[in-house]
Amino acid sequence: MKTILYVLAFVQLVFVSGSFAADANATKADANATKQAVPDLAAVKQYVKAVQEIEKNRNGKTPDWAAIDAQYELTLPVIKDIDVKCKTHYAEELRDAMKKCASGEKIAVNGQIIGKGFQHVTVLAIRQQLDLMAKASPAGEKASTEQIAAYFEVIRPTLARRDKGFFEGKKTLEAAADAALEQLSKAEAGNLLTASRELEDVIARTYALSILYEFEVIEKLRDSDLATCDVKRVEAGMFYRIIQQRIEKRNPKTNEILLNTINGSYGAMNSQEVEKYLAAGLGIKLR
Amino acid sequence: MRKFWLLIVLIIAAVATIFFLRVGKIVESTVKPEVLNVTTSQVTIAWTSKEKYKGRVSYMPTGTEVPAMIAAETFGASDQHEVVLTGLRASTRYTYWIGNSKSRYQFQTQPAQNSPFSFVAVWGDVSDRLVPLMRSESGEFIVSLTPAAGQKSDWFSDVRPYVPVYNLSGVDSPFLKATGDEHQSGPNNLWKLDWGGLRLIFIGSSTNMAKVNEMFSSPSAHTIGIITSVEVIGAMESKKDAQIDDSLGQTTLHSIIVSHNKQHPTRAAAFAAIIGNSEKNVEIDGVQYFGISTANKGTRSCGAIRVDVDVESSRAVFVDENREVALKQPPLKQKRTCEECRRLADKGAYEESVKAYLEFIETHKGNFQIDDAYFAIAEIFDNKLFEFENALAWYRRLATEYPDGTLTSLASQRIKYISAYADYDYKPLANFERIKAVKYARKKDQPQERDKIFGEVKSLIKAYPDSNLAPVMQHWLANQYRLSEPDKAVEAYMTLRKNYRSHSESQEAMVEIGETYYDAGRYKEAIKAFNEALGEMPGLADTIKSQIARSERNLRRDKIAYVCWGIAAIVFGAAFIRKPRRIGARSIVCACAAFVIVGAVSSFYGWLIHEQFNSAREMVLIVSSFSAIAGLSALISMKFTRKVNADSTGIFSAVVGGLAGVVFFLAGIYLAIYHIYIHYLIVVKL
Repeated sequence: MKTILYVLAFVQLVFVSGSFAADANATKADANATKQAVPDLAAVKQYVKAVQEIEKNRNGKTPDWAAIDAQYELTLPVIKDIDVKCKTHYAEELRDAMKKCASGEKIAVNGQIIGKGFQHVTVLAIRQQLDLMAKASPAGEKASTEQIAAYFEVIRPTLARRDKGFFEGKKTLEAAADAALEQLSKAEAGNLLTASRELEDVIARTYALSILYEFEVIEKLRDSDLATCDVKRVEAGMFYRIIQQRIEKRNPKTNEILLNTINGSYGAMNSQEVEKYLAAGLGIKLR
Repeated sequence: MRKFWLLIVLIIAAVATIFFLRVGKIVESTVKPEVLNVTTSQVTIAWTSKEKYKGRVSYMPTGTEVPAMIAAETFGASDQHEVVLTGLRASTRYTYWIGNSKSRYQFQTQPAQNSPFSFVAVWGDVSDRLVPLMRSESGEFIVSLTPAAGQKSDWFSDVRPYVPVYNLSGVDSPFLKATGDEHQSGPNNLWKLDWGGLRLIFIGSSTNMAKVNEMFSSPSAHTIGIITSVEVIGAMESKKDAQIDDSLGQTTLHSIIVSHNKQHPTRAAAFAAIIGNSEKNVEIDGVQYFGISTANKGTRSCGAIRVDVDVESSRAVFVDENREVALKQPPLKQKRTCEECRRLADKGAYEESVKAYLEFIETHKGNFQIDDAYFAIAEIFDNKLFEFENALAWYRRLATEYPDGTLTSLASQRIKYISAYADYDYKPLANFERIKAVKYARKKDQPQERDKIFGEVKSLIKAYPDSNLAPVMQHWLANQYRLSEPDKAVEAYMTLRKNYRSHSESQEAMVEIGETYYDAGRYKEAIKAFNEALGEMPGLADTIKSQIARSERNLRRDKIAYVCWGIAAIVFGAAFIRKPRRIGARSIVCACAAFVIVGAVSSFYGWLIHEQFNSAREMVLIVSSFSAIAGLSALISMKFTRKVNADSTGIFSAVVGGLAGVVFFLAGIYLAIYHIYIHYLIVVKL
């Protein structure tokens, strides 16, 4: 009997110490996750390259989801950092969309969630760096400028596409963005706000035009191809997420109108009206 | 005499050079301007300089490419500059710069009375947070809640070129202080700020209550707010300070506010921000009192609030705390319109849902969500019951009664659409919408059912050939056929062109015919259709030409593939079908060597450019097919050499064998790329 009790006590002890160890590990892991260092330029470049690879693979004829998953791991430090700072859930959301794509579930829609999700994370990361710049030393400012320039490469293809679609191929948005980036690299404390606002404006303009583009496609296809319209609606919604905060702050009513329109019936969608509201909500001229 | 004139000219030149150098130096010198006196149409840019000169400001609306406008100081040279920019547009951001300076700044004009805007209130040393704060929170002005005397340096220097700064006693401006023109607050430290539809009253010390009462009088403000402190309220009541709780309802200030609100309910004072040590908020008689604690909290010695002001609602957002206080709200706060009505609609009981909505409207008159109910009823009639007359009536009611509603824009779109197809008593529209939304949505994946539905649409067009909707239905039919039956699609597009030539739906029909052929891989017919479209629509020339180029390229690729198949078959046949057929051991060794070498080289090169491939599988497929083709080519080469060697010299046979191998290899490579991923042919400009 005594032996049995000893054995039981030993087993209990093993369980207790095991659970303590697991708890300690979890706490340590949590601490590491929270303490996770702010991504440096190397991490940012790794993120940018991985996102570019994912997008190339995803847009190919036969995406290799195992390879995409491996690349996704490389983007996680930046995504988790943004999730913590901006209270978003992109690490989970993107992983979930990738799983669905890999298992063939609504590939078109989930693919857009991945593509646009990365763009939103990138824009949020740019905004974070713009915030950091204002209180940084000259060396810190330089580091932030370099990171912003690196991040910008993720969203540059979108600018190029909108230039092609809305400005007859003239590099209007790209040129404005490059000018803003250059200004940012030379900005001093006194005129930093101008440079960062100009960069923000180009980004906002690009994504507003992206929404407009999706609406134009929906208007064209709403009587013939509802499946594509559904994908376009998701794309418009994801693009809107990127600029929503600014519209919501500037003009809550316009935000509500735009949300109603994006979620409304295809029959009531009108790109001219949407352009009017986007311009009013952002306080800038779109084209 | 000549020397004298020469001397004069030299002196003038020297003076001019010195003058221009000085001006250049002045203009290049870095000055930090301030934005003052912002209204809806004008702004003052002010700065000081070490040298005296006549100030000049260039400005233009931000993000536009219009030439910059220039405004200059009215008076002569000075070291204190004030340039007034006039003729500006309300709620617009402008970029400006001083003289020829490369430093660009921005300001924003005041919004129109009913436009929403935000401002930022800050306390403590926020100097290193202001730039991100102004960027992220889009505040149009700053209110500093820390007394100017408590600031050791100019915390706001980085944002003064962008927004005006105010403090509890007036305009916070080093320029006005330097020029001795500082805005002095009114008697008893009481002053007001009007911005858009907001009147903000600052009560800085115990004051004459009659003066406070006067401050409430504003014919244009839709929102009135107060900023004061616990000490001031306490002093008014002859106490040390006040508490932010229900006892505020007993104060003199509250009685003044309530009395004003009773007299002017449409211009009621909505909130009072109270600076002190408390962060409580309490609503008494519709007035929202909220505390702002400016005391140090742990490591945090500063803070910020963004205040969003709109006609219907206002709120204060504590930037660091994710906390929000509603300062002004519409009368009722129901989150969603009639849950039961929605539930009924969701389960398909549309008539009952409409009845429930009507009841909701009747019992909730004045509810700010009635417009939601109007829209929901209209949508049920429009999309579920296909009773367009009723739908139109409800959409119109919404547009008339709620012209500024958030759903009015959508309602207007539907009014336009339904009105355009109202002929024949809505019959074609109702039938067509029912077919599209009910039958086609459910059965489009069943070919037989789909054909029946298309037949119904055709009958509908036949029954109402001159209805406004007929061309739309014909176009829809053509678009649906395009997905599965290209010939029928082309026929439908041609009918559209023939019967409704002048209608907007048929304008791009020829391009769509071209695209239908292109999608079906019938490039010759596509080119023909695109060329015809090019003649009809010169405005779309760029798009159509690029489609023609793509069709021609694909046609060329197909032709090359046929030729390659032919060459490969001939070479292969000549090598293996014609006698002698035996394959020697040496040939097999050579083929294996070629397979391994090409496999190794292409694997290495593929690894170097692996990011160019769509997937790893695709890369392996290309590498292995290249290796196999190389092995086969080596075998063919050896066979040819042997066969020719029987009747000719060694060198000639080697050349012929080699050539046969190369030709087979090139044809094989083209075919491999053509069938694995055709777009890689772009690399070799094919």
